[in-house]
Amino acid sequence: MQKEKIRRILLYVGAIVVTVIVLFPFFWIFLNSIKSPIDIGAAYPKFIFHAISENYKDILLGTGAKSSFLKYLKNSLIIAGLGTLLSFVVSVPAGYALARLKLRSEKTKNNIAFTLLSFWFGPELAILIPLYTMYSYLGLTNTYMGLIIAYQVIGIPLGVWIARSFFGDIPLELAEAASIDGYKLWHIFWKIDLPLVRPGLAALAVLIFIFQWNNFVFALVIAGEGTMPVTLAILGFIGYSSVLWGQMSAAIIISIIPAIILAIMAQKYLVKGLTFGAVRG
Amino acid sequence: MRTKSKYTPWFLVLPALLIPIIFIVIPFFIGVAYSFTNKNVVNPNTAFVGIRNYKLIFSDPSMLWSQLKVTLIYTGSSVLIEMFLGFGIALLLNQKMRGQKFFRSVILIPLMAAPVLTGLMWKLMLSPGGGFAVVNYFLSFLGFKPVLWLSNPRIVLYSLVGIDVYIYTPFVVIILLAGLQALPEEPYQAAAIDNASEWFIFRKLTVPMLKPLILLVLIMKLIFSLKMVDIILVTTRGGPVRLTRTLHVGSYIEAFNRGNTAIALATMTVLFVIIFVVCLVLVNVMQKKPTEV
Amino acid sequence: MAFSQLRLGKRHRWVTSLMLASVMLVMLVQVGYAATDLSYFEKAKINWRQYAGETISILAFTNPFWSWCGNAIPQFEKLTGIKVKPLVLSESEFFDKQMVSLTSGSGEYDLTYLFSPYFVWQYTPGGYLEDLNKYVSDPRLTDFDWYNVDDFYPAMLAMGEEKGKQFTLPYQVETCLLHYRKDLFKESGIGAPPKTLEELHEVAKKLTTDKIYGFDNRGALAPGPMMTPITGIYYAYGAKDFDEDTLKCLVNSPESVYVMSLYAKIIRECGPADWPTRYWYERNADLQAGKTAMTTDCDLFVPVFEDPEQSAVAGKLGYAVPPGGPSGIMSSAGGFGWAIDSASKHKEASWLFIEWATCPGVLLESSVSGTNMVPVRKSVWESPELIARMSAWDEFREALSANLEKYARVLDVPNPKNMAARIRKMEALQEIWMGYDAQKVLDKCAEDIDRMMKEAGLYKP
Repeated sequence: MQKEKIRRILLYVGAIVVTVIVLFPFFWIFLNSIKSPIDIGAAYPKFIFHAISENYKDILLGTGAKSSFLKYLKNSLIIAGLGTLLSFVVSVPAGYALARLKLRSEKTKNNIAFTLLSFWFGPELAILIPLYTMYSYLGLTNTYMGLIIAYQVIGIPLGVWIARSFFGDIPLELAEAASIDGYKLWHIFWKIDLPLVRPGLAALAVLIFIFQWNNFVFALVIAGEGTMPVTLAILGFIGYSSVLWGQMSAAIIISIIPAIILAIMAQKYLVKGLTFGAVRG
Repeated sequence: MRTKSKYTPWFLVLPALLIPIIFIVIPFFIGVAYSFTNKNVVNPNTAFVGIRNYKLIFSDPSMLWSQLKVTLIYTGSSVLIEMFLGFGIALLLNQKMRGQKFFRSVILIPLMAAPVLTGLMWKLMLSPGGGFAVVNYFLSFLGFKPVLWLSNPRIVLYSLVGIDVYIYTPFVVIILLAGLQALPEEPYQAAAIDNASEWFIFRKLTVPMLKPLILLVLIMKLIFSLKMVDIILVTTRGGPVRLTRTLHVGSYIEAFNRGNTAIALATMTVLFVIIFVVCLVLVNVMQKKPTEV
Repeated sequence: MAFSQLRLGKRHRWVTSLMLASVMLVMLVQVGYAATDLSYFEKAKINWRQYAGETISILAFTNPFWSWCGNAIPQFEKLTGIKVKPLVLSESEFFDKQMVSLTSGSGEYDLTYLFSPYFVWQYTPGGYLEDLNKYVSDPRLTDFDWYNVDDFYPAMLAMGEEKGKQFTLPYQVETCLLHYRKDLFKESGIGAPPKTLEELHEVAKKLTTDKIYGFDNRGALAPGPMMTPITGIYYAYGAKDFDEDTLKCLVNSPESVYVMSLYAKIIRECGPADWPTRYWYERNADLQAGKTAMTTDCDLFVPVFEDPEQSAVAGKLGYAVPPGGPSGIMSSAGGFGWAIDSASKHKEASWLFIEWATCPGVLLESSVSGTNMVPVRKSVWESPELIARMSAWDEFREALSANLEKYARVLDVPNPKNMAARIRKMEALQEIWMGYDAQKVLDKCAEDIDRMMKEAGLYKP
């Protein structure tokens, strides 16, 4: 059992090393978010210093011309939240149809699914430049709607693909039986199949939300002052006489919190949900 | 399953197709069309010029070929490291241990933070010196002189690969871990009875059963790397010179720094074709699996 | 030119009297509204509130003027009832976004500021900028006398002008100054600041230690590092970017190869090892921390360098005109100026903002209590407050005056692709710094730029 013991120790050591490497950058940025400018500008990284909360206060309350960072959080929340909702509402039925219903043939269904997936693979700039022009005509630049729609490039392909694999993995029998018994499609979908994939769909919503929250390039081109999400707002701390590192660090920490919370809360579902698509291609 | 009307399935699928078609496909094709013109910020009159832009980017080694090389090195290195490292960590976390849930939550964090923000964090940590430069600080304890992670021409691209690895290895981990957790017990029990070695089990049972998932992760990871732009823009912007200028970043610089919209779109079209081909090849390999429903 | 001609509009006197009467009426109605700090503006015989209720958006980045102006916006909003929505980005993102938004015709940002004349050249062919003459000569919008156009230095106004139209209204001008550590010079027994690039090389080598950079500068791949820091010196050695008549790119001329090689050599031997990634804030941070002996760059950082709260070298710096060459001493000149997007839907309201932001009182304030160097108005430059402030900075005012009077001018040939060419040239400088053969690098650079110019229809070989 000596071998077993060594194994266990190595296991834990490995896990701890990975944890430390993963968490350290965030820890470090957090430390810097509670440092005063002098400590940040020191000649070498300081781990021991006098902690202050001004950085958080300043960005949350806003100073003079700079509005509160809460505004950008709000923007991110609205855009990613509604964006996820839209992606969800559009992709889940589509995924269901592609998994369960008749659409000419298997080949057609695969083609549609693959086509949708390919939308996600497009490099952003291939779309952004013409899209911005399109938006200018439609008056969609610097609007929540415009960003939400643009973000669908992330939400819909992923949503359909994963929803399809979820629905494809749950057993058919109940649905078939219900169908023979004369139940309507809506009833089968809502009362029988949907509950079965609920954990997976929860994971899907979380994933889409996080991808949309984290987007940068679309926001850079399309967003404006009233709709700027946090990913873009962070760069605004690069001032002229001094980069406001402390405040920037605080802003980074605040921007990451929602995603981290979701990840921890949804961890159970994420792993469980992805299991549905695990063995499936 | 049969539906009342044979058009119902189409109705369900339609929105998912329409939105992308209007707001993604059409702009994309407009972009491709522009790539055959001389569209330029400075010249208000746009004229058709045929394949001149493509000829240009293919003939000038400092354009497409340089960017392609950078893209391939970046993608190849990052994906290779992430697949192996990710698989390893997934196997690790698959073992029964205390704090399993904790470790599994933690591993998600780099993926959950926005790449542009994580890139910014690393840019600070990789500074040559000063209050933020923790990496060089720790290295100095080991006797190393400060390393210029983001400006030394020989290592800058690999520093960026490192950041990519930090962010996306968790991606590989969580998917493969989910796969490992879903593996059926019986084959393993049978192998245990037969006294098979661990390596044998791994090679003949685990890997083959996970193949579809491995391929899926591989495709997604390849594509993420091929089109990565956030990290590079916030750290080096393609510099020094052209050393970290991938196809995507090069296109950004061409469009927004030099104002040559058409050339930028030509580069983008080429990148898209590359991604499309990679997809096509790998998805076909994937489709051959009998587990497809 | 056009601005000063409009001074003769005294025939509008009767109109302004009428305006005055109605303004007073409006003021009477809004009893208690006029705060005392707005009295200066109320002297202007225009109705500041004629566009009350509108909203204008500004694309900005945090340069010295904006760090002051951004905080002063509430005053404008109170004065006019116009709501201002600024989008503030970091420098690189700002230039990218500016290009996207101005050229899209969306009018998303009514106002922005352009580094003139260089960006003016870039955006006027497409008609993206509004001609401001219209607004300045409209008595409904501008009180000519109060606004005092004559007060602007003609050369500076000229930076925003093209073909008789005024596209930007500069609020500051930048020239190149040699910043040097007087204390380090004294210690090493170095007398006067270097007068040529070769002298600079010698001095820098002497002062370089493992803790001090003999010479430091910005080096990142952006147009900035290839502009003010080096342009004057470049032209002083007889090099030029483009031929004035044909617009052929001349960066591979023998003079250019010489200057670029020498400059790169100085950086390599005496500067930071991560030079190609440094923007102004890295370079400034090091200077302020005392790590740099010399640099050549814009004059507008001086208020920060001389602020003891932010700079450890306050009081230790000396300022001189940049090193010269066979063709004399030269410095580039350029300045940020306000511009209105031609697709804007709130042009008049935007003009009111510009009028407010560039009126004598506000510009004075921005230079005296803010950090907006160098002023574009005579009244500000010669104001006792500003002179007093600058006198604390040693040779600054002297060197700056020399620049403004003798050495600084727009050296580049008007060219819409000027900025794009600059970035390409910066790439070449980075390659030379890395050790590649300068002639080869610059030959390729000239080729690329020629091709870019041909594409844009500007260069016809």
